[in-house]
Amino acid sequence: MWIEILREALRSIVQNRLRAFLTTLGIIFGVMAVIAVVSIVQGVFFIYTSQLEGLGAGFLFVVSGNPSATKQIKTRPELDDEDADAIQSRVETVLATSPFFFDRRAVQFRGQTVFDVVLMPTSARYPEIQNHYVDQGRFFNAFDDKAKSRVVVIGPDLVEDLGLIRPVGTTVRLYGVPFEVIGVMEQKDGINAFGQPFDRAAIVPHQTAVSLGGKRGGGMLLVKLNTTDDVERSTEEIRRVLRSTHNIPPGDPDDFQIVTQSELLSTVGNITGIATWVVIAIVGVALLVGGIGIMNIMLVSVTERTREIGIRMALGATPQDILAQFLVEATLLGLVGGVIGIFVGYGVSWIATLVVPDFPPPYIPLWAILLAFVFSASVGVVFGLYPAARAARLNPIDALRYE
Amino acid sequence: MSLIELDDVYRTYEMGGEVVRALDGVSLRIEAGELVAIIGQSGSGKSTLMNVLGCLDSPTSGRYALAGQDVSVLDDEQLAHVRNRTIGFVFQSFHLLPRQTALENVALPLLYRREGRLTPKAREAAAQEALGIVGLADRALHRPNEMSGGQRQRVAIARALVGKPHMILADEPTGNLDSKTSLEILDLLVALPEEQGRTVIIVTHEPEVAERCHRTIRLLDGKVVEDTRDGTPLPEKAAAAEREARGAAHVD
Ligand SMILES: Nc1ncnc2c1ncn2[C@@H]1O[C@H](COP(=O)(O)OP(=O)(O)O)[C@@H](O)[C@H]1O
Ligand SMILES: [Mg+2]
Repeated sequence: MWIEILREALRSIVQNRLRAFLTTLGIIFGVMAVIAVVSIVQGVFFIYTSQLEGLGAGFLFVVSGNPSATKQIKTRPELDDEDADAIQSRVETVLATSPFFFDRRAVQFRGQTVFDVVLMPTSARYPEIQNHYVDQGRFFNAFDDKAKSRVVVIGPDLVEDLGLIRPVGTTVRLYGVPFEVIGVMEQKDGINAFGQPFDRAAIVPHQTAVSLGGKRGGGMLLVKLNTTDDVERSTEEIRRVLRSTHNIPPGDPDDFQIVTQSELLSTVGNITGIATWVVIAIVGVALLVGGIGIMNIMLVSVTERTREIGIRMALGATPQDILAQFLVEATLLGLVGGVIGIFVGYGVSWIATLVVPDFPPPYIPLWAILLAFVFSASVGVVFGLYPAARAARLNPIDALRYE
Repeated sequence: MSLIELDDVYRTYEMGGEVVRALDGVSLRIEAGELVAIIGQSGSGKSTLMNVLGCLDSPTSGRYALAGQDVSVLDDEQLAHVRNRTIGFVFQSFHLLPRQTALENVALPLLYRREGRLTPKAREAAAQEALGIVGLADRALHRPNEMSGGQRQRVAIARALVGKPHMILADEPTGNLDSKTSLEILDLLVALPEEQGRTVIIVTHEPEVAERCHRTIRLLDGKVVEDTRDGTPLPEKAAAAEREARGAAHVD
């Protein structure tokens, strides 16, 4: 029985191919959007997480301020070299600490100006912490920092942007004063924990930048642990040290926040999760519209085939038989839209892969495909129910006589 | 027990406050294996009677028992089963499904059969056999629009026969056909009681058709005004006695 019903429904859809296609456009778009967005969000998630994982489990950073306790904090919280030194010397599991902040400045070379370059003032420990070393020349050392030397290490993409041929040894202007390029960082595709592209950044000694008035805001500390065994305990110790250097009385809230890699990962996960659900909600509306399209076309179909319904009833079809026939047709319409949508969505995510560099090939999780299937089929069922019930309720003699 | 027992059946329509009595107190007995013609002018209630007999329509009042079963107590689903098992329809305008082949059209009643369901293969074989009976074995895969009117009506007859129903109801089966084709269709139908033991009821307004049936029932304004078997009126006495007995039964 079901096979015949299915064949009948298929026949009816194939007979009205164009109409079926137009009817299911809403569903096609809805499902396409689900698939494309889920796949793109997953791609972004993948890029972020793989980079965060690249930082290593032993990486953490401290930011000044504490959004949950801003009111209770009296003085402006600062994180500086002294804090970094304190952590370095008093917490055993810390391999290296470096003060850090970022800034956006213009960099000039001869007549050429590159605006909006990401400037990352930090200490000589930066390469170890960030796992990112120089390719040419050298990184600045602790003396450069202490002496507030005007030296800069730049990323390979920035070398290109500035049009430098032999970068090491050239002089560029930063903060309106000349800086000597002493090194070029090795290529490291992607972005750091704060979203800046590694290869376009200019790295300068922390104290140099502070002395030139580059520091606005409280700054950060980058920390690298020498063990990943007990990140929590190390975090707790760092917290104790910072509370003491900041003279925070017991009971008062911290005026800083410690962010670990695992927290970052879960935050990224949350954000992409929220994005996914928001999109699914929007898509729900698209599917609703698609469903109304199906209902509309099924009502038309029931009217067109009133006589056929009468004939079937005269031959012994029960109301349930008629209900099943139209319900299956509506469900199939929904599913056809869903399947087309999955394919188009997959195509769209491929386009994203081709257009955006470093974007991973589309990854559509099984749950998204199942969701699209279930969604489009249920849209068919739900919106097919009313037309099908109308067909089933027809009186055989009236249906037979219908012109 | 007769195959068909109609007692004082009314079917009325209300049209703008006016009541039309399409069936106005019809009582009838039709036995299994009879070949019956129902005649009468247009509008006399022939189609209405056929629809009631075919369980497509229900009487406004009165009793209709088909093979001993009072059909007024059945719900839509049970009525569908009754139509499927006991009745084969042949309509004036064929009523074939246009998108299906002759074979698929003929097999349709078997698809809706509940008890003793056949496999798709067996259904196809039965449909092919029925097409053979009407002489269309070689047209099985044609669609209705590829066939002549006579051929379409043959397909419809095959479809009516395929489920081996007790009776065939044909409402003006030759109304849309030329006279030569009409004769062929008629030959098919009138042969059924003898060859297959099925009851056949044909609505017609052509006297020649009626002549070929054993029994003729004439309707006028929804009433049976004539009921003859092989030219002899059914004994008025017997009919009256029957009516009386029924009246007594009603009192019980
Ligand atoms: N659905 C209907 N609504 C109103 N009146 C109807 C309907 N069907 C039949 N009638 C009326 O009932 C009477 C009998 O109709 P019908 O049984 O079709 O006659 P016949 O088949 O003998 O020509 C006619 O007067 C017709 O107008
Ligand atoms: Mg009629």
